[in-house]
Amino acid sequence: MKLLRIIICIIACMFVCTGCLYSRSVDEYSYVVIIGIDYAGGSNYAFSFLMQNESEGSESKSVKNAEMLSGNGFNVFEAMASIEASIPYKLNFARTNLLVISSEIAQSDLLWQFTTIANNNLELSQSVEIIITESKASDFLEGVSNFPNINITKQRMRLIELVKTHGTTVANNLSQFLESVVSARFDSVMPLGRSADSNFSINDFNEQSSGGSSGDSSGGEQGSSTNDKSSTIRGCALFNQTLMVGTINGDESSLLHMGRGTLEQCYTTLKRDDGTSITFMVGGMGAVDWDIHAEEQISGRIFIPLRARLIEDNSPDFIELIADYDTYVHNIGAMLTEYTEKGLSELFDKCKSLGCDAFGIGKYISQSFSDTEEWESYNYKGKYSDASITFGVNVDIDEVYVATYLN
Amino acid sequence: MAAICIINKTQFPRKEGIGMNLREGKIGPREAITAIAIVLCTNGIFSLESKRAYSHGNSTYVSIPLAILLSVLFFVFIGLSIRKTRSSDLYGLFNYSVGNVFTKLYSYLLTAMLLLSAIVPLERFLEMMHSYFFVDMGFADILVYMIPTVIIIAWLGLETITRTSKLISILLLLAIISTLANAASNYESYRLYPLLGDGIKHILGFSFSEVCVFLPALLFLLTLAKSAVQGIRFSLKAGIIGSAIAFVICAVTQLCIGLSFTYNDLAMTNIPLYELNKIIITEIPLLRFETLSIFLLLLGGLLTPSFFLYAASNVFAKSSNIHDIRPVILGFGIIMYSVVLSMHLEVLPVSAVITGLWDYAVVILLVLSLFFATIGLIKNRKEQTAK
Repeated sequence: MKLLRIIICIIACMFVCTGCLYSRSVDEYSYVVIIGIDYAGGSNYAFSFLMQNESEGSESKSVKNAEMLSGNGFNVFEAMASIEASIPYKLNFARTNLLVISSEIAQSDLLWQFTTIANNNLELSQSVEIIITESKASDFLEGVSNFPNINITKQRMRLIELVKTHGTTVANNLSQFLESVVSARFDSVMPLGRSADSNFSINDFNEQSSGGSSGDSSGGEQGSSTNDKSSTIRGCALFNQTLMVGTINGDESSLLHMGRGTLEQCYTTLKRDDGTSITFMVGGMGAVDWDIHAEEQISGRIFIPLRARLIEDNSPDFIELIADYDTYVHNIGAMLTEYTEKGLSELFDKCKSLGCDAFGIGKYISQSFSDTEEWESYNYKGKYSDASITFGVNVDIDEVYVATYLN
Repeated sequence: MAAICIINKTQFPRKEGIGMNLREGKIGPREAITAIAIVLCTNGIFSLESKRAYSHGNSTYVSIPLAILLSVLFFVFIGLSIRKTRSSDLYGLFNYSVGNVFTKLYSYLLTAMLLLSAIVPLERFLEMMHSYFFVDMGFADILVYMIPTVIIIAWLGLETITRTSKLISILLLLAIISTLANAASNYESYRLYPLLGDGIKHILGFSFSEVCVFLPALLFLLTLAKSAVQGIRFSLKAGIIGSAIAFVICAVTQLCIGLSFTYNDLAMTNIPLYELNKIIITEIPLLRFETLSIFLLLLGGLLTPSFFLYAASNVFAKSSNIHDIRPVILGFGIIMYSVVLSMHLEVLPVSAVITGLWDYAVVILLVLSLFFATIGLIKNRKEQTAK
């Protein structure tokens, strides 16, 4: 009986501690699901808050399921104050799962300032995904909300799905961004989005300088389409610590996944000299083998095992080519290997020239040190610009699938 | 009544049961084991000061278990000294070794350490509640709700605390396991590097300084050998098994924390275990588990200050011959409230004083404990040789 009284007492006290201090009814809150930040001139920023509309949208296709509020201010709190003055509820960020930042903001130090402020004061979860948009963030949010019956609370999950199934972008949450800046062992790479009416053309991404191109450009985009605006995510924004320094396209993003060892699945189309093309579904195959040496100059080799499945070969001579099965498999394997190795080297050089350790070389270098002082005095970021890394790729063509294709 | 007064003046500590209301009761080995395990785990996981523990590199997955191991070694040495000298408990040993006066002074020092041990986890949990849940609220508002809970549990006595420990131990274990399992997709070994942090010297130094976090609870267990824990054998058994459980849980938890955050991140993180749930990148069924997890961990978080509040009051009441422990609990509870609040309001240099006490008092406590125990052993040997 005494024990029962104690348990009741503890539980009663717990309830008091976890919910009833300055209690506020749930319907007095409006839960912001996506935050957008744009530069608004001078020292002002335009904040857009997208909220799920729970009331009537789910039943009518013509009604939007998301509601957007916008406000300008010197910081997020000023914008919140201006918005909250005109609405009958309080904004709450506990359920925010996407943070959309315009590239203009990302290229200044403001992303870092905002994330540190938000992290400490807005109760934002560290699992919030960050998206950089080349168009205005408010346009991107509008594009997301335009889709009828969209459940914007699922957009974070859709982004992660997109990364898994197409590899044309990456997922990067607030925690990873903070870690990249604070621990300084790698640089952030963030998903790149845009709205369809922005200056940036989606076709730019399909140009393949290294001979390959995406074979699934429509499937590789997370998009919403309507009569006015639509939003897509494809490619990545590269960061050097807190600043955005460049972008890469969808195919380069797939290569980046290969180099990092995070590739689940992507589609790669290679063009032959005669204009025909061959499409593979490429997947990661176990751990990437890193052999990096932390000396005066960072040098080493990254060996990547891949598996590939032939999806389509539109060569008119396909039947003749496949007649010599072993040679055909060897040739397409060599073609994919050459494309991947060349692409990775070019991507690494591009990242290096921008000062962005997108591959996370620092993560592996730090493992050569047993002492914090030694590691900190090594200054790997200073040596990264002279790093010499070569890539080796071993492609395992799924022969069974080719045989099935033949039948 | 007059007879009781005479006993009070002549005998230290006062014999339990003669006009005393210490609310010890009788506790079995399982209750003692779970109480010790919960208290040590809370201290080894939540009470660490992030800046001090991680700013030189993260090696806590080695140094914290090592600190528990060192504490157990000291505990076993003192416990065996009690057995060897055929004393009844810690007081008995020290009375035999150095007499009443020094034992009394020692017990006041132990009281201070136990009270500090109550204040530190309470302060950490208050910080956590303020940072993660009640951002808009003042510390005093939150503390007003936490302190009565702590005092009420302590007020109800040791038997209640230990039985509650046994009751919630499985829940706490599940909360920790599920938190660590949920974050498993985020673990990466590179975050553990540089493996030795600031070097072996720092690891050993840190482990030794962290003994202060674990030793007071174990010493308190030895003071109960005669009364609540039913003999020195059971005290030793409960202390060793409870510490072994804490050793494993602390080592695994600190390792998982090390796999999730680099030392630079950890130095800026209040409660890393709680943060584990918030950094998960992939969607999992228990993605928003942190609120439930924190509720469960809070049970342990409030039970630990209650345990130490009771322990400090018990030692103080015995050493000061106070009849009833309840006013002492209330008084110490108010002191806790004032100190924790002062730490946050920064009206007094309380934090600096506490850090100083924490660092130096433990050395004095440890040295005195070992010194007195050694004297006891030497004295006993001499007596046996003389016989």
